[in-house]
Amino acid sequence: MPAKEILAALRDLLSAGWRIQIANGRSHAYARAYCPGGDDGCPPLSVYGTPQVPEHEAEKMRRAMRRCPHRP
Amino acid sequence: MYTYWFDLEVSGAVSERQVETLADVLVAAGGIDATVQAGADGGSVMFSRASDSALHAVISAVEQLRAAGMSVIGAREDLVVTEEIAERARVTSAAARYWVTGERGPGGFPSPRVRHPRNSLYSWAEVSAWLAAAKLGEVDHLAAETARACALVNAALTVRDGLRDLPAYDRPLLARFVG
Repeated sequence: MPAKEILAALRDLLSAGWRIQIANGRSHAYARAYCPGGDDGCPPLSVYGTPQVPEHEAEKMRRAMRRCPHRP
Repeated sequence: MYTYWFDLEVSGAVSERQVETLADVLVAAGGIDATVQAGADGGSVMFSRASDSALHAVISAVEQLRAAGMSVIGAREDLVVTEEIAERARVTSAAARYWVTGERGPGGFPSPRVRHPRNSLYSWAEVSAWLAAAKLGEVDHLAAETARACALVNAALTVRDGLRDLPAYDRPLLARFVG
């Protein structure tokens, strides 16, 4: 299970209308997140489950969310 | 050691396998400090890299993406939306928007690096310098160093691609010029 900071950022993405797809348990990527723009949206965001600094991973996830021009 | 924030732009399709390979490369080098936002049409990889210098941070990141089979076409310094400017300057989003439009503050707010009707992106190095000049904050020297490193790496990538496209007889001329 990823660190609490990453889970909190995933919850923020969900609240902002992103779709979260959890990966299989053997990969470095814990999840893939898709912005609300659908097929014309931002490229998918791969969320690593065991980053060096979980706060930094969470910040980058939120950056992707803030930069997304497809926010409802 | 400092932490440098920057993005690398990648072209071409980025597969889930490449995302996993990149994680393997990063783990072998000490840990995962990148976040990939890329798919069938390329995208970007965000880094928060601990290093002694910004140039070392950016170049080592480019080499690692290449090792994962990704094609790097550019480096972007720490870019921020208005909301982030407000957070970093500890003001409301409305106040930051007023600075951007020139309705408040000394004017001359930096132009966006990437224009978008809703979410334009600004150079944090430029914004922090503007805040310092307006006595509203301090210059972020790490961001300024990262901006310089990204500019150099972009120039190097341009030269590298240019060398590849040049006729063979012109390549030594350009190589000598930049060398």
